This record gives sequence, C-alpha cells and structure tokens, in this order.
Amino acid sequence: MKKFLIITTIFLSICLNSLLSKAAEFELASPNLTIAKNCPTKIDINLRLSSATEYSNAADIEILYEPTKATIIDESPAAGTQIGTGNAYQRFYGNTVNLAQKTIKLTGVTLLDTINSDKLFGFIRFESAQEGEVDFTIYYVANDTHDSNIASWFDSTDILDSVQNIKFNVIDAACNDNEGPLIIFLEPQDQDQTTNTKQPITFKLIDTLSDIDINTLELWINGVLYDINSPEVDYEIIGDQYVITFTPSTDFQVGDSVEVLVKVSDVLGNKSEGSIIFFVVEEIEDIIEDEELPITVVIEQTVDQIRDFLEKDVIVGMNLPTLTSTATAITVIAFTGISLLNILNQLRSIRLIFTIIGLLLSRKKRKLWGLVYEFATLKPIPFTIVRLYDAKGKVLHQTVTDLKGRYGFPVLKGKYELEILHNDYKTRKIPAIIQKEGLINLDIPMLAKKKTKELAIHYRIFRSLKDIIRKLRTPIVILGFLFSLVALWLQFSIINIIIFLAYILILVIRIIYIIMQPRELNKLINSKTVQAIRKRAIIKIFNRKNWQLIETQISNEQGKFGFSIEPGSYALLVAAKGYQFPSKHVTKNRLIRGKLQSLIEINTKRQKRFDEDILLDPTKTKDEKMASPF
Amino acid sequence: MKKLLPLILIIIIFLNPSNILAQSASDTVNIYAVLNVIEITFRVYPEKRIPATNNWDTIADFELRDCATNATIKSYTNITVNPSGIGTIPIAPNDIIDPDNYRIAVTGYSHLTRNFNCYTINSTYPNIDLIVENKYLLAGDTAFPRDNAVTLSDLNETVSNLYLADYGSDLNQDGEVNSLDLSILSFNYSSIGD
Repeated sequence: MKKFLIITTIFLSICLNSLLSKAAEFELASPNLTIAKNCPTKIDINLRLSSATEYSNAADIEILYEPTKATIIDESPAAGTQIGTGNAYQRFYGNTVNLAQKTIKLTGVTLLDTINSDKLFGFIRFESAQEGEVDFTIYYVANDTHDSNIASWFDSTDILDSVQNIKFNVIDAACNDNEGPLIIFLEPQDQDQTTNTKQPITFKLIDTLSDIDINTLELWINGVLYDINSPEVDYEIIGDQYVITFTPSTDFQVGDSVEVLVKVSDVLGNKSEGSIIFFVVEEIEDIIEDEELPITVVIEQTVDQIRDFLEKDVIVGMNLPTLTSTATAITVIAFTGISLLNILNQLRSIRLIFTIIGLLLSRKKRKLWGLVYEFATLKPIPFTIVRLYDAKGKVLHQTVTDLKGRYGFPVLKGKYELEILHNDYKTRKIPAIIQKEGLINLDIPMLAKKKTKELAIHYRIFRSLKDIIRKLRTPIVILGFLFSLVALWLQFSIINIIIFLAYILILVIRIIYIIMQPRELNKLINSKTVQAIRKRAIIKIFNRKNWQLIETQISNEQGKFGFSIEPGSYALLVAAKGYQFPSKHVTKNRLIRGKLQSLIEINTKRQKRFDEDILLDPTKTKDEKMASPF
Repeated sequence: MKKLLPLILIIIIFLNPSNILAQSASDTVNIYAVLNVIEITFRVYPEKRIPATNNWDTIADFELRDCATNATIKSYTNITVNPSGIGTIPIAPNDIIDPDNYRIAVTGYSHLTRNFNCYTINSTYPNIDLIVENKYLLAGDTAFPRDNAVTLSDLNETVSNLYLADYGSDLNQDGEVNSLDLSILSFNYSSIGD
C-alpha cells in the first residue's frame, strides 16, 4: 500500500508539474565572450520553450545596448539597420535598431500554426571600437507585457518567464580574420517556391575584414559550374559588398528543385560557402503552405485515439471480480488502465508497420481529389459545401464533400477562388492559381467555430497526457508488469491472468515493433572517433543505371540525413569540409569510379531506405578543400 | 307560487349560461398601447484582454436582427462600452421598437461581428446580459474598411502599428501593440464574423 501511494504521488506530481509548467525563455548566446575590437561578433537570439506543452505563435524581443560601445552590422537589404531573423516564426516584423533609444527590436509571428520547441529567433552581428565591457540586455520585467514577450497560442498571454543576457569583454588584439565572406541570398530564399522558369538568383557577398577575391567565386546551379566571367553572371560593387545576379540562359523545368551552391574566398584565402534549394512549381502554394498542419498535431492523433477509446467505456465495461486485497485491487485497476493505453500505443505501432508494408506494396497514385478536414483533429469533414469562383467572382462549380471529406473540380488554366462553408466551421476562402488544365485538389484545414479557450484547455490537457505517457511508457510497463505479477501471486484469478498475459503480449509486440521498425535517418560517422559528424555535409544519391541525380540533402546538425528511395542500386556521394570521402574503411568492391572521385554503392532491396551509417575519414589539415559534390 | 317565483328565476338563469356569457362579453374592454423603449443596456466582453478583467471597454456597433432570417432590423453604431463591458443605447422618441424577439449582434472595435441568442424586448429599459452565453467578441479586424474578416490586410495594419499605443491594433488593450496582439490575430486569422 505504501509503495502504491508513493508511486501514485510521483505520478500525480509529474501530471501536475506538466500541466502547470509555463516556461519560455529568450537567451543571448555567443561562443566567445572575449573578443578583439573592431572584429565582427555574432550573437544568437535563442527562443526556448522548455516544456513540450507550451505552444507559441508570436513573440517580440527588445534588447538594450549601448550604441557608443557596439555598432550593429546591417543584415538586411531593406532600409535602416536590421538584425538577422531566425527560423522560429514564419514572418518577422518591426526589425529595428534604434540608436537614440539604444534598443534593438524584433517581432515574429506564425499564422495558423504554432511552435513548441527551441528555435533561433534572430541573430545580431556587431563590432566594438573600444576596449571594455559590452552588454546586451533583454528588456524583461516579470508580469509586464510592455517588455519582451513570448505569446501563448492558447490564450495570447505572455509566457516569457526568464531571460539570459550576455556580456562581452573587448580587448585590444589583432583581429583574427579566419572567416570567409558572408553570403546572403536575396532572391530566391531557401525553400522558396516560384512559378518563374527564368528565376534570377541574387546574392550578396560581404567581408568587413578582408577584401573578397571575386575570381574565386564558384556558383554551382544544379551541378553546373559558373564563375564570375560566365555570361549568365553579373555583379555590382556596393561599398565593400558584391551583389551577384545569375540570370539563367535556359529555362528551369516546372517541377524541378534548383540547388544553388556558392563558394568564395577572401584575399587571405578564408573560404566560405552557402547553399539554398528552391522549387519551380506549377501552382502557387504559398497561402496553403502557411496553413499546413503542424507535425505535432499529427502526433497528437494518438492521444485522440486513446481518448476515443476511453470514451467507449472499454475500461468501465470491465467486469472485475472482487479481489481479497484492496490494495491489489486498486493497483490492478489503475495499471490496467495504463496498460490499455500502452496496448493502444502498441496497436498504433502495428498500424504503422502495416502502413509501411502498404506503402512498400503500393505504387504512387495521382491524387484525384482534395480533402476538407478539421485542423485540430485531422478528421475529414463530410457535407461541406465547396464553391469554386472564377477571377470575376462568378460561381463556376459547387459541390458537397462526401463522407470522407473529399471533393474535386476539373478546371482550365486560370485564377480561381475556393470557398468552403460548413455550419460548425469557420468559412474559408482560398485563392488558387492553375497553370495547366487539371484538377483543383487542395487539402483544406478548417477551424472549428468552437475554437475557444475551452478547446485550448482541452488540447493542453491531452498534450500533457501525451508527454506524460511518452515519458512514463517504459517505467509504467515495467511497474505494471511487476504489479500484475504481485496481483497474480495474491489472487490467482482469471482477470489477473488476463492482465499478466496482456503485459506479455505488450512486450512481444514491442519487441516485434523494434525489430521491424526501419531506421528513420542515417548518420555520418567520423571513422576515427566513431562519433557523429556534427557539421553540415552535402549528400547526393544517383541512380546507377543512368547516373541521374535522385536527390540532394544537407545533413542536419547531428550529422543525420535520410533518403526515401525505390528499391534498386544507387551511388552515394558525400562532401563534408575536413573529411575525406569515401572512407578507407569502405570495401573496394563497393566503390564506384566517378568522374572526379569514387562513390559508394548502395543497394536497397525491399525497403525504401538504406539502413547504413556512412563513414568519413578526417583530413589532417583544417583548411582541406571541400570535395565538390558535383 | 309567488314565493317560488324568485327561486324559479334563479334556476332559469343558472340553466341558461349563454345569458351570463353574453353579459360578460358585453363587458370586455380592449386596450391598445405603444411601448416606447427608452434605453437599452447590454453587457458584452471582448476576448483576451490584459488585464483579463474590468478591461472590456470598446466602441461597439449593436444590431437587432430578425431571429429567423438574421436580417438587420435596427442598428446603433459607436456605442461606448465601459471597462465593465456595459454599453447603453439611448433610443430616440421617434425610434419605435416593436415588442418582439430579436437576435442581438455586436461588433467591437477591431472585432468581428458576433451573433448572440434571441432576446425579448418588451420593456422601456431592456437589460440584455450577453455574457451569460459565454461568448466573447473575436478580435483582429483592424484594417479599414472593416470587412468583418481577419485577413492579411489586418495583419499588415497591425504590424504597421507595432510598438505603438494604437487603439485599433492594441487588441488586448494592454497599452502597446506587440506580439501578444499578433498572437490574437494569428489565432483568429481567416475567421469571418457572423
């Protein structure tokens, strides 16, 4: 009984802590706090949401600094000095450096979406002309909304509860220029979509310490090299900056992804490179993209499923026999409930396995219909009126979604507007530009009219439940198993045998799931340290039959990457600064001779992923030239 | 016999009730009167205010609508709602409101129009408490002209007033336009009023 009370207390404490925790933080961070004067230094403005239950859709920061001690370097082509923006929110506004007020301000907002993890809110690049201390302080006063704020998505209150400021010590030392020129892509930006098949590419090169050696410029567009003398490349010198414009001589193909890699050095030989990928699309999807579902919502379906399951009185409907020991009875009931949650979780795993098998067996089909679904639950909405208007506002078609929320309109090329009406949901109007005769089949999320504070609390509770279940899954299974064993020992009844067998079943399913689960991501491994390479690297995969480039990826900060490919034979190429590819540890029969270097052969049989970490050998010198991935 | 006559008469009267009813009908008086509404008082709360209570002031448009068709019957604009959420509409003597059921629709400043239930207006000083419905006025329609929807133009209008004390864009009425106001706008983005 004592044990049971302790476990219950711990469980409830975790629940309460998870439900009541409200933590969000702004942090100013830089690798070096002692800097040389007149040397550019970067400060990252990190936004931290320490609890997974916190969801934010907007934030603003106000940083106090002394302009006589620090000069902010402009990061934007727009008028006025502006700091750099991060990836925390979709849009940034109010980016101002005010010398008179001695403040730096930035505001970010995301429409119809939320964030709930640590993100880069922005960054400041500055230099100091005098020795001494330079402070950057986030203006934050507890329970005041006139300072820096992180807005909660649920109720738009300020959830910012702590800040971390930064203080530099500026010393009189030689400015050690060990950084290459800064590359800023102006147009298009990374992951942009464009309908322009002649999309020009514009970027800026800046080096405040040394002159840029423009003759070292290498501009790779989809594997084709251009330099400063190429007729497609034009440049303009503005102060100490170069603005480079690339105008394609041949059109990009609709549906293509265009990979741009820029390499350049300064006169001291400091190299730098930057890359973006943009997409040439048939249909403008910007507005829809804004309204895509957050991935977290997809994950939260699990909680909804559990909730649905519980609502069907599965647990209540159990006819438990009277057990002799009260403590055992309570324990068994409590852990039976938890066990059922685990079983449900496992069932989801089984469904996932079947989904993977289904995907392996199926061929990619063209989507013939669009889906109207509820934003919060992802459930399709039947009987929704969908109207199609032409550019003049005239109704062309009208339909009602079927039981699975599906609809579709055959249309000619042109501009259209979709109107989606349902009594229980907020009416929506969505513009659609069709560049080729076909179908309008956009998937449209709908917001329920009852989306109020109650709904927010509802989601907060179930999101918390999700976190608790995730964190406690393993200990609960173990404890539940032990308790079921104790219960069986105390009372050898049918129900106790069933519970005990249920736990055995859970363990078996779990083992099968772990065995069958394909690896999501592969890693780049340093062959010397056998650690992941925590650097950005370019990975390309080619079809061995025709040497067609299948996909290019850039590894993440943990050195992870992953390709989704059809079964077959492929060649893999990796380029990482400071590393040699292929590794000497790769067997010779797997090496394929390429034009410039060797590649590794990859064979996938039934699965759509290759399950292998890639070894790279570290090179001796730091400035080893990065092998060209082309 | 003479003694019995009054008794017989009484019995006849009792046995012929039509005479009594006729007598009653002839006594019926129909009175017709026109009810003049002098002042309507209502209480409504705009959403997500900081501080959260007694900060519900706004400038509202108040409509009486047909309960069945939702068509506007009477409209009163620029009604000052005090921090307690109470607004008072003086009704002009020549403005006749027929005693009936009306659907109430309220639009707050920079807010979407919100339909409430039907209420009976049959007194000179009707008092309509809309907060019992637990419905708040949704904020975000900041751009002019008001289109009763939260759109990109509203976002642009709000960000143009960032860090200022603009009444229209300060959706939570905390005295400054900042990310908390954008958060409200983002939450209601693409919403359309009733």
